[in-house]
Amino acid sequence: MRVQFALCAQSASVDRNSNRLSIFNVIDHFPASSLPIVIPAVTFVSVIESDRDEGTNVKGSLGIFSKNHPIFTVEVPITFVNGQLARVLINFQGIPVREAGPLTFRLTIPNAVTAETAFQVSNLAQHEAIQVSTPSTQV
Amino acid sequence: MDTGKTTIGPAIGPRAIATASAMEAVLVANTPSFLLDRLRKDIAVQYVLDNMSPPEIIKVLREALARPVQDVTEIVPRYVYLAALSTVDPQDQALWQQILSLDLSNLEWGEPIRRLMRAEAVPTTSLEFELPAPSVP
Repeated sequence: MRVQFALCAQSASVDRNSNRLSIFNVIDHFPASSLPIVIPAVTFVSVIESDRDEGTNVKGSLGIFSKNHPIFTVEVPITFVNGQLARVLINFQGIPVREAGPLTFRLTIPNAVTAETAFQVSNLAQHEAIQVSTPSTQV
Repeated sequence: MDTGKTTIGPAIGPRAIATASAMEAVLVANTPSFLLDRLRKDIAVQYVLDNMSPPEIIKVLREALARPVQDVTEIVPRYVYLAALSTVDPQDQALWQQILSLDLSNLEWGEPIRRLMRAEAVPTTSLEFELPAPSVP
């Protein structure tokens, strides 16, 4: 088994007619005006390749971690038809983040693979405070 | 070449879905993937999907494929029915087995289109969660 990709976005959809996946507004970082904060919407998207030819169902486990502290864990059923590919799209609403640091999404398929992605949550209020306390040197 | 008759229910006549745009798609298509893409967006396919279930589409297509083509316009509904089947849930193995059992040898691009449909039928696990609001200290 192999992870083709894993990422977080604001939303994603699968076209009803073509079954094609569209991902909108990929999240590479999240600037928070203050902390703690609730991130309103995050979609975890991953595509996993199976090395088996026949269809199979596996159970994975998705965990969300803020600076390695678990926030949420859920079991995820994954279906491979005729081997090949399987997509996972999970929408989360209202992710509470208490402190700045990496927010990690980890989908683990036991004895197989781990699809992991993370983005940095930064505290803008703290950045501003640091900039005020360290005056820039001018020539 | 629509007859102007509106057929309601599962028994959609082939003439009702051989619309001018579907016919144009079949006539101008230079590759199976172009034809499949065009037909999927065509109103004829939408009309079939709105009025027939996948087993009904398979049944009608199987019957159509068993008949010899007497007129070029008879080819159009066959491609329309086939394109409509591309929306079948990738996880519905029973239906896919029926689609795979269709004899498409009389339809020039039938087999390549079916292969494309099968390749694009990637199953998707879609879940939604609302996380509990954090408690206020």
